[in-house]
Amino acid sequence: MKTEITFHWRKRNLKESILAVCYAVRLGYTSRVLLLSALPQFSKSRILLSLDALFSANMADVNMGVLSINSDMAIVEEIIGKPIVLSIPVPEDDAKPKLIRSITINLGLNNPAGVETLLKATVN
Amino acid sequence: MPEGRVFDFIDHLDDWLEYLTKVLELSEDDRQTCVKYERQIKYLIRFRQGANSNINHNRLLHNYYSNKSSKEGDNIGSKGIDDTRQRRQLSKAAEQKVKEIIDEANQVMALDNMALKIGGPIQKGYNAPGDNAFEFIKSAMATEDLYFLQGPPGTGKTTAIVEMILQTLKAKPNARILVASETHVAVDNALDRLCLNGDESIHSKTMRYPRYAITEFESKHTASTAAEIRANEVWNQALKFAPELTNVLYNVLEQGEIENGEVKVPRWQFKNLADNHQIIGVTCNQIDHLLDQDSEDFDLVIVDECSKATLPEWIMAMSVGRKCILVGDHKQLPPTFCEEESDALDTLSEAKARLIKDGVIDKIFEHLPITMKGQLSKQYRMLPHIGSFISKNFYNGNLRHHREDTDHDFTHFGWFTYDSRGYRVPNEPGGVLENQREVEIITYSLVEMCSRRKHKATKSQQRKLSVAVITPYRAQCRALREAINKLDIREYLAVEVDTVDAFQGRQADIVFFSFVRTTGPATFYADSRRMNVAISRARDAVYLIGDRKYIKSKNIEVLNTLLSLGVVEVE
Repeated sequence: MKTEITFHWRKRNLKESILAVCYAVRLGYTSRVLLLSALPQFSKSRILLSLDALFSANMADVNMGVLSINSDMAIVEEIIGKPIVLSIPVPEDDAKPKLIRSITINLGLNNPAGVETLLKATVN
Repeated sequence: MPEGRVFDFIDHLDDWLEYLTKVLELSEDDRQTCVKYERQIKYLIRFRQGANSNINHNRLLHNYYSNKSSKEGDNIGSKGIDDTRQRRQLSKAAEQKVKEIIDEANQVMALDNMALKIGGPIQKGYNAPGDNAFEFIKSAMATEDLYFLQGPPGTGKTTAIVEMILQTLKAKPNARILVASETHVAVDNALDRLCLNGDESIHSKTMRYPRYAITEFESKHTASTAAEIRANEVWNQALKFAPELTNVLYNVLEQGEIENGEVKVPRWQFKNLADNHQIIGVTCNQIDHLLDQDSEDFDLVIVDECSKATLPEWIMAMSVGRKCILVGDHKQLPPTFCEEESDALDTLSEAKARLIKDGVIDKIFEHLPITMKGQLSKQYRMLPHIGSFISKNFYNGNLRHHREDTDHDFTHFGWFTYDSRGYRVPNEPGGVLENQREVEIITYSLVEMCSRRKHKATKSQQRKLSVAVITPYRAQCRALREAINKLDIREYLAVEVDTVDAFQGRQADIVFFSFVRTTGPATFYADSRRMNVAISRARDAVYLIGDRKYIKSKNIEVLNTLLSLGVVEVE
């Protein structure tokens, strides 16, 4: 008797550019010019769309022109694609969102709603 | 079939969907092929639902599939008057208000209009008297949505494509342009010519996905526009600016599969590269590799060799662009179908299967208004005696000829024949289609040609002549290759042996055509488009090798005209 929960990107087309933006910001490329120069592998439009996704999930912030990324993103990067196995029976469909939310909170995420904006979870 | 039912373009799309579903069933063991058909089905369904870039493409194709354009031109465009609608008389003030609104809308729309008014030609060579090519380029540029450019052999289709790209970029410097074709070679040739005629800014905007199939380029800048090279360049650029970040990203982000010890470029990287380039060359079936829902659509899509592409292939290209220019020649070969595809066609009714096989480009071309189509009519390849034959028999005498003479002695257009009495090819129904007698005639002629070139070379320097040995059958191709490889002629002749279908889009100074059969049906030659392609590969000379008696007995129109040519008498 076990339940497997796996998190996937909602915007699969942008997963590489979202990750790249997070890593770049953490390494100090925090302005528009620096970010674009550090990531020539990505198109400007995909970098912008990734930032949009991060802002709308409240995972990125700008203060005095300096970009920062929420520390929750480090956990997001860890849990993506790796199944979390729990020794409980598979819940009913209407109980699944509650289970997902409690997992995100228990993983130590401060912004569980933002995580669910970026990620989609499958429960099997 | 319900009585009085009229079949339209949507029915034709449905026939294609039925056929593709059948092929998918038949090729379920081959995953790679299945992906191709699934992609075609996806794009066809999208197009059928109107989820493509420009809905006017759907309207135009639907209308001109079934109806011929009116004499005045476009009969579904905004300029057409719909008599069925009753109009109320407007007051003067209201009329003025409507006029103001339309003017304002036109001004706004003009900024984003793809109907471009162009000035003079950008490339040299469009000033030759009697050459209508630039007029058609002008009208192709002036259309908003769709244009068909028919280019008979040697009429400069590639040059026209390059001119249209350059003109579009001149009028709209930020335009995104897609050059697509069914074959890699056609895409390569177009981009190579573009690099030759374009400056540094054009080279940096151009990308060929995933790499070039051709190895010899007209321009030294072409090779570096391959997407795989561009991918390496951006990683190196990143490494220079942000070494630590780049190393982290290289390890963390998904990389491509490893093939022969080399890491392949991942798909996400190609999509980003495609976003960053303005002019992209790709085959129709690979367009989907470069685009997803976050990609920007193209302003102009040019489909080269569109008559060789199947309907889903050119629809895939058309679906991603606001304006589409189809370039091809429906008087040349239609698309080819592999074994599984032919099996799937057999499950459809004969009429549906024939329409799918032959394609509908010719029908739509005939129906389109004059403002949306053009036929290039000056050919630069063949000498006039070959060009006139092609013109008269396949293009209603509409072609004119640029060349008048050549720099060597071989300018024949006629037969090398033999009496096949007792020599049957194939020797039994369904047997091997290999004719050694024709192989001997061809090898003898090549050796003879070579010795004449050699003799001439003692007096003055002689260039190497290109020779195409063309035959309809693969078995004969193999026999010819084997025999020709043994000859010592490479110093003076560059010989290529291939089937008619494989030779489309290429040319040679001299063409040998081996008919092979001396018995049985001649269905393969009966298709005038195949004979058109075979003969029109030649610049200077055509030698037809076959048993004239057998060919005469078939009584096929296109072959009868060929028989009217005499037997070649070599001095």
